[in-house]
Amino acid sequence: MSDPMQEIMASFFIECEELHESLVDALQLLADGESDIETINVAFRAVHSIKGGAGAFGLDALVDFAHQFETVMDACRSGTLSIDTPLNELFLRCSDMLSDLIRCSRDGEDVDAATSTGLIAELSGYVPSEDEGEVEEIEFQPMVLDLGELGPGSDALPMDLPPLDLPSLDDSDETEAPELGPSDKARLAVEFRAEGELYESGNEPLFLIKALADLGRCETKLTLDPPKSIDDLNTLGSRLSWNIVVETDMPPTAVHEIFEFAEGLCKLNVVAIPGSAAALTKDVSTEVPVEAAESSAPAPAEAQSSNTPDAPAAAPAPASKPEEPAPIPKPAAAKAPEKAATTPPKTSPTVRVDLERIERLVNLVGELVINQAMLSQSIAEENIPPNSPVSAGLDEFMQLTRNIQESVMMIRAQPVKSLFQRMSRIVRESSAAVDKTVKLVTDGENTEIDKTAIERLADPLTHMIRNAVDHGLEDAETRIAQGKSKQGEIKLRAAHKSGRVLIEVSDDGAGINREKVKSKAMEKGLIPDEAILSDSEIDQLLFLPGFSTATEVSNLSGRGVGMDVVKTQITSLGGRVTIESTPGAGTTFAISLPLTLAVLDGMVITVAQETLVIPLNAIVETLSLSVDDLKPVAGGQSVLCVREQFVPVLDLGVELGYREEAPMQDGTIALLISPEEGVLVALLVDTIEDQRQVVIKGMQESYGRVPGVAAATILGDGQIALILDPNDLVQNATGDDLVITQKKAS
Amino acid sequence: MTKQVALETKLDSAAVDKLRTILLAEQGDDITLDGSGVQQIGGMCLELLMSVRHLWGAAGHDVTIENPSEQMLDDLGRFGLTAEDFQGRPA
Repeated sequence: MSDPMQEIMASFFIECEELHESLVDALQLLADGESDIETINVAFRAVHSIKGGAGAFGLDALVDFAHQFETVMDACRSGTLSIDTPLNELFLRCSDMLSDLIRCSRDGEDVDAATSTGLIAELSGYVPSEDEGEVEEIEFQPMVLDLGELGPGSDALPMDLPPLDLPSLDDSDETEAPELGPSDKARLAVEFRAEGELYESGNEPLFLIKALADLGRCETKLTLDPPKSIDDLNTLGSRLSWNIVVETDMPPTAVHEIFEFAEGLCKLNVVAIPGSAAALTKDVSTEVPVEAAESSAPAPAEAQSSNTPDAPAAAPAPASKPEEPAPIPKPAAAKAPEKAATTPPKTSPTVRVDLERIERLVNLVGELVINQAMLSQSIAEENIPPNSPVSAGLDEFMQLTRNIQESVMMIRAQPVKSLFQRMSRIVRESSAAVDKTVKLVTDGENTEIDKTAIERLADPLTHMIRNAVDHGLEDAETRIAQGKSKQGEIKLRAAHKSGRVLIEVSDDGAGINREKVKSKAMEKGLIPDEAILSDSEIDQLLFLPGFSTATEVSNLSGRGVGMDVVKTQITSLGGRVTIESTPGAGTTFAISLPLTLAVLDGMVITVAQETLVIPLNAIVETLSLSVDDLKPVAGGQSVLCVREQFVPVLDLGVELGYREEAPMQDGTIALLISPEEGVLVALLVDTIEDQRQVVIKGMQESYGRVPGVAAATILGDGQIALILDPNDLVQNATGDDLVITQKKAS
Repeated sequence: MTKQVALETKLDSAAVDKLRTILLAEQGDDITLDGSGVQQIGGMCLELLMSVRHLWGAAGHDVTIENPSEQMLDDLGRFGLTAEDFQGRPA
């Protein structure tokens, strides 16, 4: 059985990632000047929620940092501090640090204490930490408050300290203002009783109470429900209860955030004490006792939004006439207010599933697709009429299989947004390291891609962004001299295109200095001195291992490690990376990845009695040729004339080594593919057998990377067929000149 | 006769079984618990100590804590207690 504490913490860290994502979103809106009044509230609540959860787990470094972070944000949202560019940049750096602290806490790594302390000091420059100015005031001083008893245990034993006279919180109808005069500070009365499950699930009241102390000064009374006999010592965990008055400006929901992971495992009542600032200014809806553990009805979305910490205050209700108890958000819905800030609440329930289970499901669907192909083949061999019930049933079965396959793939798909957010940080850090001003513009961050691919894209994209900042963009003086804006721009774009995912990293820098690249390659002995290379071939030199044009090793690059690694990583994902560069205007690196990593629509063809599969999305058109369609050109090659456009021809059988070159026959099939925008290449094949879904079976682990071959599959008759990567085949088999020359000619 | 028991460094939920065994072994005696080495006391062990103190007290025996560490005092303080709450016999 897995450790419940570990499970809960894992859940917390996943939520941290989501909260951090919303924090970065909000900070980016602020940086872009597109924020509204709610934006800073969203950012604040994200940090506050992280702090609350961290406090419950005793993650002190995270709590301390988040505390100072939220303090400054709180000053911003209350209007005492305005957000200018330096402060927003500080917020972004703090957001990065927060992310590091979360990661270190999760992985048990050492925290960069110096950076954390430095940032806390910078934040304190805006709003001094409470610890600095009010040490005595917030120093924890246990006091006793007689808030009555928690439940039926009438013989509960309060510790023998002088009581304060506060009313019972048990019955909301009897809630009265405690005899504490109106205070500048709001006061929250927190009634908390541990239950056995609280400890079993890894929670610890000490940490929860410590986290409460972060909200403000606490006055705590502990009550023991005394055991009757020695036997009771075997059933520990539910005899302690606390009545805590917290002096804080935070709303009651702040307490619930701290207890988020303990909800349902303890008894919790939180009320704003009437007469205090909290009751008179905000969160009137949470004035009355709210039951966390006992609340059985799910909180409706509307009710949650009314419970939002920063919801506009309704007209103050008389303290003696509390309104209806507000429902408590359930843990799963606890983040709804953050999302609700900028868009109307529109959350759908989610469930977290172990990735391994999804993998198993994907594999099963793969087997189902193969099974369906075998069934189709068997039925075809029986010559059953197409309008028979069997054929109709098979069609339906095929449609269902496809729907299942697409649905399963959707489970694994995630938006690239989180990846792009990480790149935003890379741009900030790398531009600071080389003293350049760089703006990152993102587009298509909701484009979905397989989760595995997202994780494995982080490293190559980081390399590419760093290279763009360091090598691609000029320094400010050069840019100004060339009539460009001082601020460089890097665009990160994602889109679905022809059944693949396209991710582009482009900069508006100087473009690739091809002369420099070529001479460097010659200097390093990577190409012969007399080599004549096309622009495209020169660009491809960047991907050679050990290649670097940097004359100095900077903090970011120049060590000759990077672009070759990028290409290897992209290729290992079944993708391709291409370069397009215009001198003076900039460079674009484009990564093209398969949409899914498990199933594809393919065209089954034969070449020299070999059965092969070509991805359907790569094929633009199919043609049946006559001998006259081919026109000879210099070098013994032929081109195909298609609607007044000359298209290079590649005999697949020859390229794959299945047969010797032979004169073309009438009826030869040509598959037109488009490796680049506006470029066509004709692949000659013998026959087209079928068009069907095939399950991708990777070959790289067993055979390494085979040029021109993407993977293999099992056909309906049990035969194994190679799945070709036609674009790779064209580039590797015939060289880029074939394509580029034709592109220029057209 | 007063028995001396040195409390463990970390009195979290995982330590409660061992502490219960130790305390039950001293049933019928006054117990003085040495808290000088305690670095953390959690809710479960606190509940055990307070329960034992209550049960032993009802039977005419004292359960007290001596030399509580700074950290233990801090934790007790956060729970709403002081060192004095573990002195003498509970009311």
